[in-house]
Amino acid sequence: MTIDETTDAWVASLEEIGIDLAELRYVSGLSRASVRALVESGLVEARPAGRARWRFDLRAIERARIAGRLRADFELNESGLLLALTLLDRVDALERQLAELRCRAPRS
Amino acid sequence: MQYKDYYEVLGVARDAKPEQIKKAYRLLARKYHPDVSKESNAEERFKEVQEAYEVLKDRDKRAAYDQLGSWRSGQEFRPPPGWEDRFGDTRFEFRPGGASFSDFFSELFGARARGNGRGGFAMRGEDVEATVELTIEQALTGAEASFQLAVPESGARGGAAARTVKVRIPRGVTDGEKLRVPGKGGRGVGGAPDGDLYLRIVFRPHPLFRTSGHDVYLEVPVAPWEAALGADIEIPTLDAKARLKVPAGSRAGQRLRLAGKGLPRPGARGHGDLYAVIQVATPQSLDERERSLFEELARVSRFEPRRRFGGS
Repeated sequence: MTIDETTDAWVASLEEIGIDLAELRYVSGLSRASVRALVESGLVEARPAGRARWRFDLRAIERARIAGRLRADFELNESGLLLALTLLDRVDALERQLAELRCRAPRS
Repeated sequence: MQYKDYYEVLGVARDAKPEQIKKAYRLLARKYHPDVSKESNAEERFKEVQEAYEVLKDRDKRAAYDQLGSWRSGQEFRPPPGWEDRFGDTRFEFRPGGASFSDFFSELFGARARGNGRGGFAMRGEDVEATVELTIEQALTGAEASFQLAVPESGARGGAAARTVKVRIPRGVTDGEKLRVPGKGGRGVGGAPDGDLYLRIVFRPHPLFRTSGHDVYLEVPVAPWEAALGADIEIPTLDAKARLKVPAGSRAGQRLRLAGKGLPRPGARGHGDLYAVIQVATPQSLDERERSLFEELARVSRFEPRRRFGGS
């Protein structure tokens, strides 16, 4: 079956709406408590959307999906999950620095 | 359909104890989990590992799988007659949104298909990931990417449908960025929504430019005398040419910033910068005149590049 269609890729920073908590739980498979722990620890960013509601942008979605996968695939508890995400963030930051330094270094 | 040796995938014996299976899975998961691993085939390998573990960790599924007897991995395989009657009714549980497993798995444990039609069964379509290669020039203007996706069909019996998807990639994306296309993943079952399509943007290497986020780096070779005396030179930018003033006394590795000449940021929030990284190039061969000029310079110059070393 081949369906030919054109569709717009969605860039969160372009879109103002984001998704809500229920949708985030849906796409990540995380429990409400896990999402709350991630938001409170600053590992997933939530935008307040009035009356104790949250909206999540693409970056948050991506991070929540990683969290959901790590949690399920490594059978992690909450503190293990927070630790894993924190360390992954450090790896990301270092890789970004490395990439930038490579840009500046002469080509070999 | 090819037989899959799940014991071989996990590297355990056929009579391995549950703890050994779990241990083997954990080891391989750490090695190949796509969110953690840097192995090139991590995603593919992890899917195999996950599928093997899904079967071998579960007593009922493992018993059913063991009933098939010994086959060689990759051997052409058909489920034995009567399989459906004996195991077809077993209710296997799967975590929603999980990885798409092989045809072999679906044939034996095709829970998705069998779940369909059992009143009230609904499952969200699977998320699909794809990589889109762009040139830096395409990222500058935005681009239309067209590619084939094997989208898992939850409703069908574990198969995958080839679907051509055309996606407009907005200008302003960066190397390594992920985009989400809602509802363009696998089809949902029983009224559940379709999964999402996630696109990972990868820039093709450019002969001149390298990028870091929205900033662009260009290596600019200059002659030793240009570095010493300063120079007004022309350099390429992403979409035009620009004049660059190399200050007198420039050092190798020094960055000169051309504000706003990098990649556009999304939503009309300006551009990143272009950094010209100075490299002092040395002539590889000198004619007589050049050589004598350098020799004269060596004689008269009081420049001490290694003063910090002390001594003489």
